Amino acid sequence: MKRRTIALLLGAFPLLLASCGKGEIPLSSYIETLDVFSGKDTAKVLQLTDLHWTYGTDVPRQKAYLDALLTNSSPDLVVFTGDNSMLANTKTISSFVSTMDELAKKHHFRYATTYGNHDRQGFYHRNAWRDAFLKSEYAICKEVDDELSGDSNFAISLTKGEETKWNIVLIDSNSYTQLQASRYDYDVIHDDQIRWYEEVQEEAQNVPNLVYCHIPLHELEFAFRLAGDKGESLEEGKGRPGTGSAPGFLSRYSGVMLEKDSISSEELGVSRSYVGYKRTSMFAKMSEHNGKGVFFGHDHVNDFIAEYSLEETSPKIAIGYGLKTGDGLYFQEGMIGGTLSEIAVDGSVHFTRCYQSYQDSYEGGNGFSQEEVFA
Amino acid sequence: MKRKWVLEVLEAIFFALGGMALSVSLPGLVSQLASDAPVFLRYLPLFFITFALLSFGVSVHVALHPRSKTTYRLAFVLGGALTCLFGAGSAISSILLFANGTFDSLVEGGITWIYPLDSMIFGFLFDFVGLFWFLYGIKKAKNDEVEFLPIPLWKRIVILDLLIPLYCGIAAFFSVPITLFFLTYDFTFAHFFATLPWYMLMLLPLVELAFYEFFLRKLDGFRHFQVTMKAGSIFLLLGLAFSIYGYFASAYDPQAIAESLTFAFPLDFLVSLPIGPILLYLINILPPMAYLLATLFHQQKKRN
Repeated sequence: MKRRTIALLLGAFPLLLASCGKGEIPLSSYIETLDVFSGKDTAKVLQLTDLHWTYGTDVPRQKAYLDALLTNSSPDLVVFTGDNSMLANTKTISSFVSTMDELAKKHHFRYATTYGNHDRQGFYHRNAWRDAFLKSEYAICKEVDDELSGDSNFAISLTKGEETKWNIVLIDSNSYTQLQASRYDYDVIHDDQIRWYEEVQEEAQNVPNLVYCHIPLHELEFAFRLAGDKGESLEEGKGRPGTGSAPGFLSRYSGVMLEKDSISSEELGVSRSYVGYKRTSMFAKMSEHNGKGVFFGHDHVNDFIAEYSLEETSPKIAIGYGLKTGDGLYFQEGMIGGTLSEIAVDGSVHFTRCYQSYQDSYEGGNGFSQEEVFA
Repeated sequence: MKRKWVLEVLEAIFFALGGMALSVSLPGLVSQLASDAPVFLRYLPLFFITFALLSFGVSVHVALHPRSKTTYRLAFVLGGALTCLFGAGSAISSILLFANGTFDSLVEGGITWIYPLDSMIFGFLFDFVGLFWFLYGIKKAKNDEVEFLPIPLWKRIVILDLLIPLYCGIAAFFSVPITLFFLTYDFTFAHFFATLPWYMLMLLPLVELAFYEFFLRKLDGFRHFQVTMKAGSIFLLLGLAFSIYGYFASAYDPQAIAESLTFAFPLDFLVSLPIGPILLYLINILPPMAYLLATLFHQQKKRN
């Protein structure tokens, strides 16, 4: 009798775990509203990425660096596109959040994060970042305990009074997937997340939107190849000739791809961007839902941004890398800072690269310069 | 007898502490090497402490299982000197880096909540421990009654000096996810069944090491043979079973390791290769298999 009970209990355990479903979660749980347009017609969203704080990071030095960058760019909203940390511990997380809170208070902005492939790599449990953000007064974190792939999927609805003018959509591009026993591939935005994006946009009646995530979409490499077809040089990182084989249409572009050639997707072959393992429909869905730009982190020495579309007649969407922020892990001298998107209530957007060097490497001035992405 | 017991306890403690230090230092070192070492100096006290822990742990092990009277004395003299040296390195580097402003305060935090103060204190502590160890080696070790087995030179070099320390190092490295389980475990249970085999594969070598160190190596003759055959077969079968389970669990749930085990495999995600799982397969299958075969071979040789 006893044995049978134990066997039954053991058998029921997996079923019990499997039955702990999360149920239907209202879309509003994923959306934070921010009235940034009150009293003005434009707002600034600054993308910071790949800070790579570790348990060895010199926090005061990094804080001074971020302070200088934020003073010079004065954003309303800061979006981190992942890899805030790597080889970190709970002390790193609390230092990061308290630093950002202090700077947010000083410079009057709110901030939000979507995760990269390294953010979970440390001595803490997987919700440690979320727990720290939820305690913060300035962080926007709508991570929901749900069945949706990834964790940091949420939208910030930028309003003028009651009316939503823009959506800033953060999507967790996940981290790795072990499709083959011998290696890890970079993951992609999953289909359920793309459906979620569509629902968010439909709910907001397809207002203009910017999407932020960590791992690049294949379309970015297509744009780079099309730039190469226009005679741009691969050696200087300005374009890889695709001999007309890359899909889509390119208009304006700037920046470089200085990462080493690699194969991170069999589908794509040799590329300069460390993309996810397969092409997804994310970019195509952005075209259908008034997407204005999609920005990534991940590759520290790529800052290529292009206006690109899949169909000749469809509106072009800005697709590209945000400037790597700070000197965590590897970086290119003179190619660090943040990427600013100045959005207007009329739906227009203007992109600027904000270069910021460290105080200890200033050669006069304040180490800051900026450059229009599509001059 | 009392001396042996003290050494065994010290060995177990330093194995655990060394593993912990190694699991923090090694990824730190790799990340610095991968990025022009921007904050290498800030890691220095930690690196010194790790070396101090490892050199002391190894010297305790050698003192416990010496291969000759000379190695027994060397374990104290050289081990003590190295522990002293690395302890001093940690204490002095902590003070100097604080003095030159690399650390804003002695309790700036980072690696631990009171880093580098803890490294400085441990550094001084290791100086005393190392000095005591060194002096014991100089003055008293020569009078100790020591038992040791004559072992052929190739066996000493390949097995005792190379393979066993490597096995212990890997097992110690993976002892951290086990000991910090309460801190790092994915309590959302999102990938419970896919992470289970990896935890078992991390735990098994520790159980095997403890079993060997505190039980099996004290047996001899036919009893040793009997226990080795039984326990070795069980460990090998468990290792094989969890390796196969882990392999198929990863195929079924390819996100499990990336979402719930990154802290256990820090190097993997720097180079995008499954180094951790491969090491776990190897240390769970090869050592018990080799030990079983060696014991069988040895027994056969005895019969003949």
